[in-house]
Amino acid sequence: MTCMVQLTVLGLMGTLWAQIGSASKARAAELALQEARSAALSIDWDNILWTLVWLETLGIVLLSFRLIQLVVRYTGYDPFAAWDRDKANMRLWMGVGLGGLALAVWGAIKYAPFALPEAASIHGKYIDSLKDFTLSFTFPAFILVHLLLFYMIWRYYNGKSRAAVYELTNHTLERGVLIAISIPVVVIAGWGIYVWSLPVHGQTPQENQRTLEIEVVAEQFQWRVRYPGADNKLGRYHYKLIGGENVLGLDFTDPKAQDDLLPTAKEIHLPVGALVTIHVRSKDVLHSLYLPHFRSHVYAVPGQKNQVMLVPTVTTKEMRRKLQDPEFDYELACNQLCGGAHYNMRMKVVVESWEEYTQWLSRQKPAYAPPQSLAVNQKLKS
Amino acid sequence: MATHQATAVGTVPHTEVHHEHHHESFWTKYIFSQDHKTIAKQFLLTGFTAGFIGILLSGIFRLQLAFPDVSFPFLETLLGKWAPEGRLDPNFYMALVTMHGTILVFWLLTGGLSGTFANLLIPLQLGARDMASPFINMLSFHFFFWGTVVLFASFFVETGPAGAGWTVYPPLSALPQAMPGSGLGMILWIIALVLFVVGVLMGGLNYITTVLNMRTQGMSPFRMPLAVWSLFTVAVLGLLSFPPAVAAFILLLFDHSLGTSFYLSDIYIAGQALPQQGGNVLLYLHLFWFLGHPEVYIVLLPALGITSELISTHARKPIFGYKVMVYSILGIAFVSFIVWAHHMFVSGMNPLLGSIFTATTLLVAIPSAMKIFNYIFTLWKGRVQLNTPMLFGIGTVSFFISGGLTGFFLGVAPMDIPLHNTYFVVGHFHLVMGVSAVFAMFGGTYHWFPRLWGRMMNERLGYIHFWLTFVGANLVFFPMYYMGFGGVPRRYYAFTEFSFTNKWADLNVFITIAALITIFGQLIFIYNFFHSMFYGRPAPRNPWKATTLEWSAPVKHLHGNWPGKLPVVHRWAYDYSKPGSPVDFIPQYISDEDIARGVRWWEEDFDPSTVIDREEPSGGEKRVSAPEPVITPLPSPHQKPEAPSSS
Repeated sequence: MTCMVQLTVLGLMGTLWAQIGSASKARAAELALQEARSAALSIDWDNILWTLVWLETLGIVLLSFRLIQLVVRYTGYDPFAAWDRDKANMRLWMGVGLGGLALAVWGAIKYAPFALPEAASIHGKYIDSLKDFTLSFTFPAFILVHLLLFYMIWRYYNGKSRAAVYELTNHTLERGVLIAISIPVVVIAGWGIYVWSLPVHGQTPQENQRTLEIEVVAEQFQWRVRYPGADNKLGRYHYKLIGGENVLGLDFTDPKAQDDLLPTAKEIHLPVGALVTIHVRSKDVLHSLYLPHFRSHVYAVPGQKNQVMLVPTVTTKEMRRKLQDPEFDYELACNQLCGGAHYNMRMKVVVESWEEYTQWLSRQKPAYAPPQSLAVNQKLKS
Repeated sequence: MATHQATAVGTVPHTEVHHEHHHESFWTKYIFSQDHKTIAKQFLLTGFTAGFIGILLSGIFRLQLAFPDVSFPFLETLLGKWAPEGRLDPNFYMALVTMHGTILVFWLLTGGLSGTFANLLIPLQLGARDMASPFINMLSFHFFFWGTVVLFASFFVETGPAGAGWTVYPPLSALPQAMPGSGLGMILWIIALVLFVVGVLMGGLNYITTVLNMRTQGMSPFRMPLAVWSLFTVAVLGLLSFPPAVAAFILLLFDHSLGTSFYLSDIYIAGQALPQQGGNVLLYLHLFWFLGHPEVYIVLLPALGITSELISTHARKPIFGYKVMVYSILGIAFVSFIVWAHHMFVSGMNPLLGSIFTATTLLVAIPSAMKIFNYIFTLWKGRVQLNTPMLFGIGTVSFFISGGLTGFFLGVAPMDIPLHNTYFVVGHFHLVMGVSAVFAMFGGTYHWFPRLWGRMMNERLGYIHFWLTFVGANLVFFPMYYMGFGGVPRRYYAFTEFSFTNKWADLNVFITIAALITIFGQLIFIYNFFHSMFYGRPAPRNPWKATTLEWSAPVKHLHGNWPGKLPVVHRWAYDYSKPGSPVDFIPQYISDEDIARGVRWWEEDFDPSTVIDREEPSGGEKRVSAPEPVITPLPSPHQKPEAPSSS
């Protein structure tokens, strides 16, 4: 009886809810078709049906517990009465635990090819080898510590173990744990600090190495990239100069800014083997320049000049060959929540030889269009 | 109401006036209660309600992540304009993510977890009549509650709830033109958080004061249960770390509404250059994470404290390395204040800081590993009762291992570069502080339910709940590590736009199915919880045969906890399976003389009052602590002044 009442109430609530939910939509539709609509609110039966299905599933789940309980109470039939609580749960721990560990290993093998391919930059290789080392310590530790935990359950569950031993501590063991954990801590921290300070932040151009400074500017929800012109230097900018054609707020009184290039295609081209410094800034909110394949990542902070340095080592073509994926592209993503379309701030990154790069660069248009010539052009057109 | 029982066993004449019978109306008993046990229940119910809504939100956004191209008409029914044509709006997706994080981190795992168990356990396990200030304790809950109301109210404002992530980084959160959620929703978020923090601070002050001043006779610090140690430490952490966050939120509110530029500089948005200059977002990041990282331990430490109780009690064995555990708690708490910038390795702060914070961050591994191994060694040579609380306790340890080890990747600056803000982070923190703390909270609820409601929870439903949630949570969060190594960024509305994220589509469907099953599996708990509250098997006084003081108080709640005297503590909290003892536990209030006297404390109908209220033997420890504080209940507005003859 109570079941019926509960279900009916749930159903009524669902109907009411659906009516309220569809009201705003229905109103909008009414405005659009004002003359055609003479009837009252249209009812979206689909919505009502879905709501009812969900609510009643919920009700059925709850009621089924009650049902099982009533069956146990009135028939006296209890399929689990003979179960030994501790033994059953111990077996579950063994099954679920060992099965879970096996599943973790299987998943790691299955999804290894899905992980990021090997780093396409010099500092990235250092990061990768540190990561591989850490993984070779943490993954076995994950398995072994769990095995130890499962062993304790298997060996000392109530039933197999009849009495506990009053043991307060064991200094040798504690000291052993302390040393065992301190070693990886010291090694990984030391190695990490080395990689962070030299390969990542201490990159200086080698002999005969080309250097390149570019700027990547983030805004909701796209990236823009600026290349230096013939002087190989980026010019000044100020955010208050943004507007109209000058999307990056370049200060054209600075001669270094006048020859800067603004590629229109959503692509960044980088020459392989050059030391590239990417200056990162944001026009509006926090973004972050995430180049997963190069292991480069830095926030784009409004009002702050951030930069990353990297040396691309593998061209796009080579990487396609290596991965046997003709569709492969390096990608630039935003990795700091910046609004609704955060997920869609994609830019393609092309790594190519110096010759291809210079050819591509020569086709890009400069940012600076002298106002007079613009006016002349327009006059000529008209 | 307590007087009658006290005099029945009393060998001591009772002069305390606060045991007087006083009439309680509905309002003073259930709403404006100053009794710490009722406040604990209030925190638990509010926290669980908020938490359940929080995980339901995750169900909605998991649907979107698994099926980005599918239309779900019921979403439009549920969410109206936020899911036109059954497709989730990207801005509302962000709002869901934000609210999920806020609710679970702050409401469930800070307010719910600490609030419930600190209120319940601190006075009861220390042998105090109530908190140091019951009135402030009551206010603490009410601030928390009204914070909850304001937070949920933000779902109903036109521009939707806050959507800038639970960390609400400006300028996104400070500029209403940046996203709809940064309008009124953001203001409500800040108000809710400030109310919440006021509640936390009031609670924290109370917990600290109570632990320092109101321990019963004989309860020296190293006899305190580890749960109290961790709750005390967490209260100190909260007191030191929440105020900077409030400052950060208030400054954010100024930037948002008053045109200041603490965090804003050089912004051109919506076709307009803003006048603000000179601020910097990194200031916000530093202030926020100065709270944010201790916050992780504010969540985790009570969970580990509760787990210590569960594991020791149900393994029938003293906690292994008690002092190491205490020093680990203090060590983690101290280190947690000097690691915050590991959330900012790639924010553009000075790289030198990256090196320093790498070193300090990895230090956390040492006390954490000590704790994990001490839990495992507690099981060693124990007699492990695999009942529901113990299953959840072991579950917490398992999640702490799975989640903690990956901290080695994220805590090291160079390895953090490709993993920062990816699903690796999502998997890491959900396992190490999310699910692990939730499991401790479930375990604590199953364990102390008889203490809270005087009834036992259903064990079998408990097993089903545990196994379903344990398997489900692992299936949801462990694969996220694989995705993290693939560089999949978090807070993405869809993974369809990038080739390096799109190839994880199948795994995302799998995770979503596992998540939905796990979420709906929580209905088992909800049913068990409410059904047991009313129809559960009546609990004996000490159902788990535990040693701590909370099980010596009567099952029926009394204002003042013990009907007669306060218990006197003669031993530490973990005398399980002590050689020479007739049974495998000796409660803290049993002295060696009592054992010699032949007190049979393990019997079902044993009344601890007979020991507690006994005349102190001459030559025994004399009471040195301050006299008992007098608890004056808030007078009921409906209460008529009692005639002098009534007492």
